[in-house]
Amino acid sequence: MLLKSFYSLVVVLVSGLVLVPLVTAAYHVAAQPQMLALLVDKDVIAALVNTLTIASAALLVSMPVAVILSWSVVRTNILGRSLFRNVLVFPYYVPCFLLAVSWITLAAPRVGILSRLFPTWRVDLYNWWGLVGVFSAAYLPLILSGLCNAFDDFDPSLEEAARIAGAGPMTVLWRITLPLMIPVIATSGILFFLAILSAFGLPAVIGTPARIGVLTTKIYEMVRLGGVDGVVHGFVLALWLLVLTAGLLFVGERIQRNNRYRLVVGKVSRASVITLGVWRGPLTVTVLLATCVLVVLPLSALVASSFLVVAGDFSRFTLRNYLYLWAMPELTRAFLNSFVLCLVTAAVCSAVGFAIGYFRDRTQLPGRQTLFLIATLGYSLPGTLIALAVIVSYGTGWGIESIALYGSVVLLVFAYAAKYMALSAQSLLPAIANVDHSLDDAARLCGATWPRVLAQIVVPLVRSSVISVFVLTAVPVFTELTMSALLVGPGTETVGTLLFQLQDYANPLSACALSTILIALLAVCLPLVQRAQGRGWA
Amino acid sequence: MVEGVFLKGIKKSYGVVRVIEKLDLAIEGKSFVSLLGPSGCGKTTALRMIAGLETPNDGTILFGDRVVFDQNTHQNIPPEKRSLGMVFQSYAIWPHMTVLENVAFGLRCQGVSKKERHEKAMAWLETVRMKDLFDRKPNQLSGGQQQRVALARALASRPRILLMDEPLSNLDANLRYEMVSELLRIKETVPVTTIYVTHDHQEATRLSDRIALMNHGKVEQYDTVKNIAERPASDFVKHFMRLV
Repeated sequence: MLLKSFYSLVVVLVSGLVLVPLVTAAYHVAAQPQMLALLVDKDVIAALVNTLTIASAALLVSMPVAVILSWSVVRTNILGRSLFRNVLVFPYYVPCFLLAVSWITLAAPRVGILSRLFPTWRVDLYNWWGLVGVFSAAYLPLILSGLCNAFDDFDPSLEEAARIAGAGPMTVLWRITLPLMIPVIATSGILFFLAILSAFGLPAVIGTPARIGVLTTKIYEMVRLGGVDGVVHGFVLALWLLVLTAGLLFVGERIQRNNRYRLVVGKVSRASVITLGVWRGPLTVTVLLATCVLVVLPLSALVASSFLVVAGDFSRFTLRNYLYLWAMPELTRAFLNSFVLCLVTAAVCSAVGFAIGYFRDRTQLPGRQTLFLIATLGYSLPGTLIALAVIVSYGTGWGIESIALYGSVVLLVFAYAAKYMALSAQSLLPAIANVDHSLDDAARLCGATWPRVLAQIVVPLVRSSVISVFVLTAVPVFTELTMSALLVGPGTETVGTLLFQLQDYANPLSACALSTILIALLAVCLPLVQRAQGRGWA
Repeated sequence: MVEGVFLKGIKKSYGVVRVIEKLDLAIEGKSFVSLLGPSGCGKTTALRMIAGLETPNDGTILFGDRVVFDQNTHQNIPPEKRSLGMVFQSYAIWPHMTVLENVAFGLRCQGVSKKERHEKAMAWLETVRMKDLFDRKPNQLSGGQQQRVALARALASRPRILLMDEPLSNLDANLRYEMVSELLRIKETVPVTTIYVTHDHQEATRLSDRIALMNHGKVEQYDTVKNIAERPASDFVKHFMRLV
């Protein structure tokens, strides 16, 4: 009985968070089908083409670089490879929007550090190539970390067998290692593409001054321009994102299915390291240069700029940018909002994700599989689409002013939870399924009722996974921008939107100061996050 | 009082697959009975239905005169209320608890005070010769040691019926032989009705008072070890018991 009422509660919650917004938004669109004409509007098609060409170009730039770098730091004996690896992967945890801010301080025309140092170079990142370059650099760690992990897990016996069959190290790399890595390369390429499609902050601060609109920034414009219609128009545009996402996920699924072999055969031994000989020096220098350009340069430019009086002018230093932040009434509010929001979202997602996984694996309740599917839908929906759907469903209160949630923090929790619930359900289901059923059975035969089995057997055994889901939800939510930009109102600023506002028009140098604070915070929390990722019952 | 176990007209199928055709079995109190048979014969399913972990499609299960399952009256006592002890094939030792906490868990569910349940659990650990390792975590134990802990845990809440599901099948041959002697010793000291599932006819012969030899969801012969050896009921029994 208790189990069933608990189940109903979770069903209501999940449907409320995911289904109701989507159905409401779809209803609004269906009520005015003429709005679908917007999908083929000239400006919209231009934004679509920009989105696709930029994402493709960035992928073409990033992928070879990521393959070479990950192979170098994991599989070769270059000097200081674990240090390089840690530095190169660090930006993975930094919000991409923040990386965009750092590239602006470095390479903006006139005021950028490079422009000041080398005026004759005419450095300018506000153009198509600038956008592609920053996208490539900012999202490279996403592919890099995936490839590094795959290289780590590579079963060395596959390569050893080739060596024994008479192949040299380079033949092995070319004929065995790389072909076997193709599914991983394809999958991380798709993730990279998806991330760029749904990114908002980066194209907003670099693409907008360059007059290059992409889908997400176009949607933002429409929503900011006008009322409920603006939101519904935005939602129609977001359908493009949905179509592209669905298409890419389908391709990804096909690739996975066609490559059923597994590279990981238990972590028995580490992948072997290739001794480079004369190439060791040149490759070390190449990786060093790449690390400097991709990570060290932009991030140090960001930190340095936060202490400057005039952007790009290193003659005078000051703390004024930090004091400016300190004097902003929004600062405390934003930090407090983001802090509460990330804790609440992480708590809701971990609890609901656990419940969904538990129902799916441990009970025979009707509809448990569908519940899981609905909960994981958010994973494949662009954040922009979720945010707009949440606005049209809960923002207006269906005409009743007093229950309209637009501009309230509750709406933010709804959107965040709808998006991140997928992550928690997907990672907690296997964790729960890993707890052998006989452990539950044994406890029941000892006289334990199901709530006791849950509390004293199942929960303690998946505790580390729950904690990791909590951390991996809380950290990105703290600086979330894509959904927040559409959802915040006066008084509900978040850290992400405050940074956006500072960079966009208020005070770019204080944006650097805030970014520096966030990077420092992240560096402190990073061990926690990495522990959360390398989880499991030891 | 030590209870017998009575199965009457038990049937079980998963979808269209019939696992138990029709099972009738009367197990006397304090006796040691083995459900013996090849894999897939339904012996584990039968045991799990006695435990309450599976629900039969038809029939009645009684512990003494207490009905724990009856299809006609829709009675189905949940496993935690059946007062059983069970040893699993995988041992199912909880990895997040120490040896002592594992053994004391059943008493904890009964609300026994910490001091008392630890004393009792230690006594059981002594019985299975695991007293010295009481504060170890299960991942520091060998398979044989985990098996002893599982046995102590199953006995600790003084069940009147003990169920064992292929408890020795994960041990190597030497250890298995040793554990059978150990089980025989415990059988002498602790009077409890025991139902033991195995596919090993030697184990069954050494341990049991009676054997229920099962094949394709039916009991081929249910008799004492001596009678089965002397008067096998069918060719299947003859072959399975290596009597030819």
